[in-house]
Amino acid sequence: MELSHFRFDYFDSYPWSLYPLAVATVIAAVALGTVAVMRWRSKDPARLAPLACGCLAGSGALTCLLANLGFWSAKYVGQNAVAHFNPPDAMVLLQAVEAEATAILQAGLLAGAIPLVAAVAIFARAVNRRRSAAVELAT
Amino acid sequence: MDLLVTTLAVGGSMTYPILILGVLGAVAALAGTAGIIKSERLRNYALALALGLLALGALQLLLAAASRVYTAHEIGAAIEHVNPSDQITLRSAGWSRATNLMIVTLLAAALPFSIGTALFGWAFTRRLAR
Repeated sequence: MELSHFRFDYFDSYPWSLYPLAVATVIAAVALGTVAVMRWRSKDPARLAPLACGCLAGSGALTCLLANLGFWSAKYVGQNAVAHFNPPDAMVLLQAVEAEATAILQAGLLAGAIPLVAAVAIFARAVNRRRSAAVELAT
Repeated sequence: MDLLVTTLAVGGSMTYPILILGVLGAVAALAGTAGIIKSERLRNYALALALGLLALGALQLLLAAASRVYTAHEIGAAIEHVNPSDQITLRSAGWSRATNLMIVTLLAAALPFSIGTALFGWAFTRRLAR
């Protein structure tokens, strides 16, 4: 069996290893969209900071965990799939599976990093606001 | 469900502590979040609960990683005297079984870890905003 056919068959037969990545991306996008709309519509966005930070941090962490789940699932189904191949072919196919699984992990981690970075930005802004308030109070 | 049954059958000794921690983490995450939403007094303990949940999730992942290292050693020892041409197939089958536990751990750690991170961000930013 050719490598390209194997890769096509692999994701055709086991699409569930890609589901966690799809779910992760949707969660990250929904969290970012919700926080953006909440802050845009709110008259006092500073009051929303704790909720926005929690929402983004939680969805970022969940996305990263799901990306890892996708990675290990892809490895699991790949290792199952190559178990019946000739050993020399199995070696090559296993490397192809590893490459695909790593691509899933990278895409998921990227999707998780965006809300996490947004959460850190909101947190840094809250620190800055508190510092300015303290300086104002002192003067 | 099949995954859980297979993991219980072949996951090894680390399966039970990981699953017990997973159940504890899920209960603590859900009960803690409900308590924090309902009670004003409990909100003062949100940061402690968040750190506890994060520690619980991290401990589960640590146990799964330790189990994987141990499994690598076990697989190596088991196939040491096998015909070299069969070793790749057997190692692949062994790793496939071992990966079961990692998948179950990630599922079990998802709730305490993500709720812990969310509570941590919320509680810390709230403390700063006050």
